[in-house]
Amino acid sequence: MKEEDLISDYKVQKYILYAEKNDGSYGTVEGGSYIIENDLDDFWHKKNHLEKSLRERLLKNEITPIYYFMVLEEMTVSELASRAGIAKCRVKQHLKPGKFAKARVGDLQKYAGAFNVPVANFFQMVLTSNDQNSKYHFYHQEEAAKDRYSIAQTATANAVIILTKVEEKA
Amino acid sequence: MSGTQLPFEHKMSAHCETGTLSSQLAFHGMELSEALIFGIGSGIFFGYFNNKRFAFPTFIVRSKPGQIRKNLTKRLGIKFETETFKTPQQAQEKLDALLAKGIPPATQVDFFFMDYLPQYLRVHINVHFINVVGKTEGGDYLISDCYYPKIVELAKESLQKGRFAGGSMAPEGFLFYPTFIPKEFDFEKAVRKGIKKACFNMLKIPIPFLGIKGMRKFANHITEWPKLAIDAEDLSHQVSKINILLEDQGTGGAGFRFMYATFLKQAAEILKQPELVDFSKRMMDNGDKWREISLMAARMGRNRDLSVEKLREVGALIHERANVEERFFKELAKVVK
Repeated sequence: MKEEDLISDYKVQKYILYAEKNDGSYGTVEGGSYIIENDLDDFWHKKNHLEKSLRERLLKNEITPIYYFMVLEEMTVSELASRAGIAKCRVKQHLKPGKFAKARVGDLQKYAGAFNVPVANFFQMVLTSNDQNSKYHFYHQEEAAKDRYSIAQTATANAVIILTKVEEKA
Repeated sequence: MSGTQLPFEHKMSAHCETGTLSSQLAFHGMELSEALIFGIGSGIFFGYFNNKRFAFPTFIVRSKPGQIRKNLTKRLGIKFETETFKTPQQAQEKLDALLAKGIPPATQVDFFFMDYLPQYLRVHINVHFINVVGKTEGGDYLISDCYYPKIVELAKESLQKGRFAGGSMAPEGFLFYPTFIPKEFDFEKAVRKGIKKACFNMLKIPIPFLGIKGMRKFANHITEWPKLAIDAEDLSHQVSKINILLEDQGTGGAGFRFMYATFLKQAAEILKQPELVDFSKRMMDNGDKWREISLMAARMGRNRDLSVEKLREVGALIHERANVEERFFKELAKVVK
């Protein structure tokens, strides 16, 4: 790759790339990410679509919250089992709605740690006025900025209790 | 408690592992460029994984994380103190003790918990390396991450979660810092060894999905992807990921091929073998072709142009790369003998 062929006005994400410089030597130049510059909207579109379709299934009780977050955060069963510290066979059980109802709170806390969400969000969906789940990792920040209300969740000393505050933006 | 920040020179680099190593060595008074570290550590690689541990088939373009550091120890005699921990408490105490002593260690973390990065970059991958260079008054940490333009604050809870994420290649609070740097180096021997090992990894490693064999496996298997995807959008996401894995995950472009070309050019001077300059040019051209593949994948993902014929076309291009790289490394191995 030659330095002059490199588009250098990437705004969203800058990276260091290696290229043939104008003087013929090889070294680092500042470039950016093609895919993030051009396809980020498509990425969000796909993520939102996936979230919506999973949410629909979740509301119909076809899947469990564990499955919902596992797919959204792109984990496999074995990866989740290892991250949460729960046996694989038990994770598989927790992906079935009937069995999930019998899950222990302790297990749920472990899942919550692995997904980095509050335990409470396994039992509720905090939706914004434009019908987005505001409290999952891939909620689009630009969409959030458009929202009339800000929703903040703060942890407390009690691991199973989370404070959810909804405030109108100034 | 008052905040501290060690005089650590922050610099951005293409790749997290080599970048951290380079800046760690620079802090301890040794200038070694990222490309040279990458070459001596035999970082260039290819592997195609299609097993239950991954939600979808994936590939890698670099050697196993940590291997570059181990190779540096072997080939240049630089010694590193490394440590993993049983509990987050122990890990944090050790980190604080090191910072108090004036040593900024590098630590392995899960990308997901690095709150300063934009959301779309934060995925669950356990193989990111960052330097911890100080502490704020509130007890949070100052991080020098080579993917981020400046030194940045990270909440101590996030750092702890990132260091103890679990899962495959779990970091277990892993940290390292150089303890001994020899005064003189035999660069010639190290570079030669680095190239030879890279050639071995690409050509002769006796595992069917690693090296050139992995590349061929990838090229053949890509036409099966539509059967494995949940729906068209999932397939589009996975095809776009080819671009991300080749260009975006800190590879310096074209799956480290450009970085390796830069290394070969430096190697030509160190080994006093001008014919390596020609190899370097060939690697650069090879990188350009890889970049064409990744751009094609990005466009296919965007336009949902995901027919089997199109995927076969990508497969054919990858086959071509496999042939070119096989010939390249065979000849390279002869030259550095």
